[in-house]
Amino acid sequence: MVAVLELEDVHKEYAGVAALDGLDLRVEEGELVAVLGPNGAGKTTTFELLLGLARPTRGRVRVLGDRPGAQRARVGAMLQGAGLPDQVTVRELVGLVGRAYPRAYPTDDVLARTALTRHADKVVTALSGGERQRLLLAMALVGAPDLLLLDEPTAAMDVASRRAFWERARESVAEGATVVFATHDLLEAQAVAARVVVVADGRVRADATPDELTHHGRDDLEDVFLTLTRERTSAGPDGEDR
Amino acid sequence: MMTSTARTTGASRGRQLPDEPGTRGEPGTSHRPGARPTGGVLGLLARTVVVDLRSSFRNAEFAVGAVAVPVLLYAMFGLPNAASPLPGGTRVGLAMLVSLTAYGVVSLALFTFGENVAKDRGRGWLRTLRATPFPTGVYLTGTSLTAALHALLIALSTGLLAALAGGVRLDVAEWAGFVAFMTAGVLLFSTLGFAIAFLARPRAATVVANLLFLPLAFASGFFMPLSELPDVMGDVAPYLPTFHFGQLAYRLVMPDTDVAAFTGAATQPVAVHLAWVLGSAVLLGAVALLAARREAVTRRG
Repeated sequence: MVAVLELEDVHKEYAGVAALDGLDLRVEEGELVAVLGPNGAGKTTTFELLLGLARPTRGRVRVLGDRPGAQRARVGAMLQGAGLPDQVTVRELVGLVGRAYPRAYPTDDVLARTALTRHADKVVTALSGGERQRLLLAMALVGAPDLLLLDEPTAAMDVASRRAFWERARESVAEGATVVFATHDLLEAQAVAARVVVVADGRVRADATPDELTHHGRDDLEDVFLTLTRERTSAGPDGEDR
Repeated sequence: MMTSTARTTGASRGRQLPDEPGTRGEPGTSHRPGARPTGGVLGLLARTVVVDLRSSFRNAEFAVGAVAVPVLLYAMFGLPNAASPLPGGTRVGLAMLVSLTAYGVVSLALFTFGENVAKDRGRGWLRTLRATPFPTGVYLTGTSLTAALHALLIALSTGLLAALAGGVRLDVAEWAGFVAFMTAGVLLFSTLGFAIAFLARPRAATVVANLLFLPLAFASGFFMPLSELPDVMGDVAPYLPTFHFGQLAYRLVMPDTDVAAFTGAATQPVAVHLAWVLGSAVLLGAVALLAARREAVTRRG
């Protein structure tokens, strides 16, 4: 197996505050990996480093064998709170982003795969939260990426949309893509991912299959998570992820 | 609890391959089935302009504010005196056409760039694009070209009204020169809008653009002759690139005596006006690029 992304002893500080504190992670081709952690754990910072939107203070980051950002044409990303222009339709936006990639799926195929066909001519401001998330997924998928980085992708989605979302993600994995997603949702991580990486305080606290994490179902995942992260509340001091 | 097979870890997983030549740089090179080549940068740029144009005309405020206002202003202030002659024989309708088109072009440059780019920056669209292979340069070039097409529309529609209702007559070469100059103007002044977009906080960009635009428009003589404004306006005007842009535009279609009579400002050599316009575009462009670069570096730590 070949490493699709590697982070070695990665540190990232913002104004003297450590968002990452020696994070190590390696993901191989074809994996579907959940990065699980409380608010402020460092999940979003990790994704920003992987996308080349931020640079590590210290440590080594490689994506698809290259420096972050160098292989953007092979990476599809869904950023937390990603911004979109207001008066652009779903079809225009997916088609536009697709054109930025050297190879892309036909826009209508992507819209069908993300259940957006009947919303194709809606402008962004007319979309519901779940439709907006599906649009972001469509934009991440359209370039036929080898690596999908999804930061809390199912936030604001209802149950049916979540289920459909993960079906699409699994399809991508079946087609050879690697998927790494960040989530707060323990059950989602357990149900979807073949591997769960628990992050807290900017470090990896556990890296195992969901089955291993719960000792083959003998332990409750929530208890395991709380023990690993020492999380006692649902939010960090600032309530924000870093 | 966490005492068994789960790897409580501070180290990377143990499935790493040795660094074999040709393997580390080539992971996941397979192409997904069904994906098709998309074409080059020019195709992306063309698509960007088309999407930008459609998007701008879905926004009624923009369509009215940027494109319709110069035409309406011409109808209100240009047509009533259109037939009045200036000392050199130029009709006031032609001078007003130049003034109000220049006003529209500078407004477009400031608000299309200053406000819209700042909004895109503030709402995170530029960050979203940076996570894709979409080049920021294509986004900015596309926005500039869209602005140029809007400027073309402003010049054509105001010109059409002036010709049909104001009796303004120019030969084909003069019309072409006037329209081309106004279209180029929006590209030159887009550097100012671009600078506002990256220097001001996104929410403050509209205020900054407005604070700059009105004094620029008045002090450049777009609304009334400088001789009818407070002296300070006339003193400041020679230091404003928009004033020099206006002077060049008037001189494209009017004799110098009428330019001086209409604007209330003494004419200067064309080279001086050109130096101000081009120099300010280069300077503001450099400032804008530095600001954009500073932001990217700050974000990336």
